[in-house]
Amino acid sequence: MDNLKRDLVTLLFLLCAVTAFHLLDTHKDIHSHATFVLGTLILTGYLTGKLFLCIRLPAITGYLFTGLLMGPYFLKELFSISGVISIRDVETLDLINNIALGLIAFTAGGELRTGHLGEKIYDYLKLAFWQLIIIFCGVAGTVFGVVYSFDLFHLTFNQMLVFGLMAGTTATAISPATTVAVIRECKASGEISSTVLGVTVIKDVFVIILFAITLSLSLILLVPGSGFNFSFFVLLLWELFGSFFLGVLFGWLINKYIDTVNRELPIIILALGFLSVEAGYYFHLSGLLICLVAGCWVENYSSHGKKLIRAIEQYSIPVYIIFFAISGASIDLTTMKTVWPIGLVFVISRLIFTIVSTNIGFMMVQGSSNLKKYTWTGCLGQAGVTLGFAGVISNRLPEVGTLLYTIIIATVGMNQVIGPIIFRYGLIKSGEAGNHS
Amino acid sequence: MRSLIAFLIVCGTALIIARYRKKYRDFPPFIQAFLHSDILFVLIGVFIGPKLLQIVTHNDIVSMTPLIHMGLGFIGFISGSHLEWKRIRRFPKRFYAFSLFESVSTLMVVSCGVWFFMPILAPWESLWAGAKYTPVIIAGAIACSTTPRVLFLLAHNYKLNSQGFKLVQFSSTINGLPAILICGILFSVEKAVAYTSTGSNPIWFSYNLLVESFLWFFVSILIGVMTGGIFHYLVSGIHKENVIVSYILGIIAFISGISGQIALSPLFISTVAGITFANYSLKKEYVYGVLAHREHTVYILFLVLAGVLCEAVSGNVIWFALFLFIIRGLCKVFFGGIGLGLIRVKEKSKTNPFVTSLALVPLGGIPVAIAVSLVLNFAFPFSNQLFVAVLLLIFMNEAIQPILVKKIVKNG
Repeated sequence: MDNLKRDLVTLLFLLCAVTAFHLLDTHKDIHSHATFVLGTLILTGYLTGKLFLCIRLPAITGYLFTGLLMGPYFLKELFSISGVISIRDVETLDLINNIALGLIAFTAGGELRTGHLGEKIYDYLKLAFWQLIIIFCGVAGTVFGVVYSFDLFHLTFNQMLVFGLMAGTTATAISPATTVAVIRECKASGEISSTVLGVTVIKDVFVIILFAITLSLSLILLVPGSGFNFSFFVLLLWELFGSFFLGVLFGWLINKYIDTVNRELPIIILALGFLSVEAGYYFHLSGLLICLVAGCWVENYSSHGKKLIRAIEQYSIPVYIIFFAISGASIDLTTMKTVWPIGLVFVISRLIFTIVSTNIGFMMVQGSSNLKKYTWTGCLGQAGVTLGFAGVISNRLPEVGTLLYTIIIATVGMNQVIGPIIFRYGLIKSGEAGNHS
Repeated sequence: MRSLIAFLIVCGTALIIARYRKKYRDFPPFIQAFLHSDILFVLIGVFIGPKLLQIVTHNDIVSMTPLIHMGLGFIGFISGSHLEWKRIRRFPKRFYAFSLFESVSTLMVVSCGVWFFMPILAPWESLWAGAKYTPVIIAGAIACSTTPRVLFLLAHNYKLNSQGFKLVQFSSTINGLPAILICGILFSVEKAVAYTSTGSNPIWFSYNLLVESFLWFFVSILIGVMTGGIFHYLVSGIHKENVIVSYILGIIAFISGISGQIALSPLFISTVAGITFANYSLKKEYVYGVLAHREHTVYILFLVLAGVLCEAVSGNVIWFALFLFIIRGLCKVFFGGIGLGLIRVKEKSKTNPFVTSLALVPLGGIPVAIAVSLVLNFAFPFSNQLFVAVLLLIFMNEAIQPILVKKIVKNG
């Protein structure tokens, strides 16, 4: 209780100091303001996370809440005053945020042991496949049905179809970062944690393929006279295989580095995280996939897996805080206010079809009752990958792109809030929380 | 593709160097020293930066500025956290007298030297117009510090433990403080000038300016004390290492951000925060352990980023760096030797005080931090020239280090 009081007092004091500096802010130097925001988020985010743990909510929801509270939308919507974090700060911290995502993906890759994965790979493939098909069809059908029945947004039939297709596709994506963060935070270990992680990673690959297919279909539906675009598939193959080989190369480099130099490992990992992000941006590769494969390679093809995880673990708390707080700050409440009814349909249907698809998947896969009961809880969080899809949709699809972008951003925000809470609940209820030594 | 190939070249070279590092012994001593020195990381930064391989572009630098700010704060916090009153008061007063004498004398002579010889040494002198005092004072501040790392290595590897050497070693741990103090004052004055000046006639020694400068200096101390206090409060009940790391990174980013926001020195404010923490916290030993583990990592990252910041400058900057190198080296040896002679350290074996004071010559992190904060915070046209000059100065010092080490060890 004393600790709780002290944390509360410190948090209040910090918030007062931050508000004072925010109001006195005269220099308006964007870089130092971003540094100030970074420090504020790390300190207040951690304290809020601790307070959230006291009320039995995940710490990462606390980090999200901190970002949301200080972000550009929350205070503006409620009291018409600007938040501590501006949209420009979010843009300035984008690179640091992406590197944080890369580090989380390294950890996720490091958690994938091929020995275990080899035994269970067909089970994970089946689960991922059924989830993908059922969530895609279910959400696409529901969203299309609602938009069609209520004539929402006054769209043409083809536009409604595209609306459904894209909603279904983005609904299938899960955030590996959220999955790893909750597993790490709960110190969970067991069949549910490994199944959720395995399914998440496999689905991450499937979703990229599905997105390329549905985007091509959508373009055919929306742009008259356009045929099936095979260049998308070449790009898709490049993205998947290019990311895979670059990930293997990075994993090999980390192994060699630890073998020969073995100094300042966090800097090398940071550099590789940065380079993965850059490679993803410039060469149309998936930075997330590169880091996942690299982490997996180090874990499984060398004896340095623990060293890698330990090197990242040292900085894991600030990395998680930065990533989730910036995600929270990016939740656009102004947008959410305008599209919340369809967003809610989207989120609820995704939740229902995730439960249904996981249960159907387990009809074909052997598993304990606990596994069948709680695996779906880990399949709800959404973050980076979905936001990336939203960006592409906004740029590539004429007419409905902007609207879809707005709705996807709103639903990612909702899923990111409920996802960690439900997954934590599942891990605690199943008895896996606290198992990790 | 270019940046990827460039990165792989850098990685490959690093791995090959690491693989064959046992063959270093065949290399000339100054190359050996260079390969072991921290300046190598600055050069890596220059290579991967926008001027050469372009792995890190200008846009990336903009996004990485918060990390550079944090590096500055980290160096200041570490410097400040060494100053625990209980620990330093154990040293005799003559140790302080010696340190103050050699550092302040060097500062004054180098500042005067730069002031008088600047028009000859630096054809980019026209860029300095209106703010001549700033590079002059900064050059002096940079010159007065010594890196303690080389001295600790000497003490450890060659078991040097003469009184004179201990005195020099002590001085190296605190002689960077006048530089940090000057940095704090300079930023406060600049802030006050920005407030009081009408733009057409900046009045230098006016009463208003003095009061305003003092106020901003006081604000710097206040923020430092406040943030040091918050940090002490935050870590007091914590036992987990990764939580302490989070708090350290958080508080350093917080300090650097605030100081940047109100255009005060992040280096000085974080030093004050470090001093506050060192003197009030009961958990400091544990936190020092955590800091010591990360110190080198953060320092290297800072050096790489500092290298990335490096802009192309005119070739004349080499002469300015050479001048700084000679005058600083002479001052350190001369005033160090005089200081040791005046204090009359009792030695069993006779050692030459001027040779012992050669150990004051190596230069390290604080000058880079001061130069970087100048580049980041003041848009003076000469900032980049001074920054490159400091890097060259450190490089020159690293190059002569093996000769210095040989002489110091021979002297005992």
